[in-house]
Amino acid sequence: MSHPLQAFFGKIRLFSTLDGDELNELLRAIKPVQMREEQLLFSEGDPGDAAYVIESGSLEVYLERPNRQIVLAVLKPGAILGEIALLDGLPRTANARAVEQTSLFRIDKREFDFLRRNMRPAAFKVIRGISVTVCERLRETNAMIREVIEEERHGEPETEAEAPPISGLLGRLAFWRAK
Amino acid sequence: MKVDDAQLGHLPLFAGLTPKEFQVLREHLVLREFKLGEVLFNEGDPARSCFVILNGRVGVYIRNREGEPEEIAQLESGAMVGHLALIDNKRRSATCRSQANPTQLVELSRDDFDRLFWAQSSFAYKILDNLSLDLVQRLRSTNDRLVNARREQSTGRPSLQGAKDAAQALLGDSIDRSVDELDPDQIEVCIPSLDQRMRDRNDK
Repeated sequence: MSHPLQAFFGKIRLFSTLDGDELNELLRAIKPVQMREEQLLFSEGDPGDAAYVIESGSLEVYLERPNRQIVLAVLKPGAILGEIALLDGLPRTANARAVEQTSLFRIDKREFDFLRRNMRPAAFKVIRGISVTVCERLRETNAMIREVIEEERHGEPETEAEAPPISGLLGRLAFWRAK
Repeated sequence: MKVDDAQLGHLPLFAGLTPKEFQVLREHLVLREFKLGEVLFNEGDPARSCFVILNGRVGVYIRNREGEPEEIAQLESGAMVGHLALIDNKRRSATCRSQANPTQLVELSRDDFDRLFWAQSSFAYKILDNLSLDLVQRLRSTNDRLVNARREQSTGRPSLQGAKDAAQALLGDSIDRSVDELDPDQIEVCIPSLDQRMRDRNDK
């Protein structure tokens, strides 16, 4: 029997290569989470123990710095958050909170690792999908490095005013960009 | 045939493979040799394969605004070259040249890797596992270095050296490198057998 969430997950790019049975298997690792407006999902430094998919509402990803908050991204329904944790489980590098009342699906890393250890195609298709995203970001980072090298060689003078604001640079760098 | 699985097994990309999976690996790896200065691939070429350096050294270059090549990283034995090619279907983002005479590498094509992946080969899954972790570590450390490099500059942009450090993190020293240097004696054992297999392949 097909899982009621199959239609929703089947439309998300990261899961689009999974067939019905594989999606069913993966969905067993997934639990719904409800969040109130302003509720914190995780903080910088928290263990990377899950990825999240937004069903409805929106999440804000931000850094807490002395005297200010730097918003890196606002994520909308269908967006995936913290998926790199499924690969390496390292601590969160930013905070995430609900902007409004928000419904999420939580993909538990331990359950996901169980599928991975058992060499389940469901897990490896997801790993491949996450890797494609990581590659895109590596290529973007590479393009940034290239810009710096080009400009440096060109000897272009740069003033404080021309420098991109930190949120712009971090937004381009970070894991957290909205798709 | 005397392929030293232990030697290939020291390469992070091939960590954790069983003897049977090494058998599959040997069927798909091709030994390549490049003379000093010889180009492995050019920036803009279609990216169809990934290399792992057995010995020698590879320089990575991108063109600056004047069109002159600028070296952004050096890769040594054990390092992967062009590994994004196994995951996405893009063009080479830099030019790679041999800086040793010769540089010896093994090459794995994306077509082969893809075929094995979609056939649910445990070999491809393990390689993907190793590769995905490596990519994430590169992304994290490159980002860290770029952010740090930026912090040191009053202009708010990373310095040239900062950008090159970041490039080295992006392309070169993966944190999880389980070998720093390969033992040259073992490479000697490894290479003739790979070479033989390449000849066998060409004879087919």
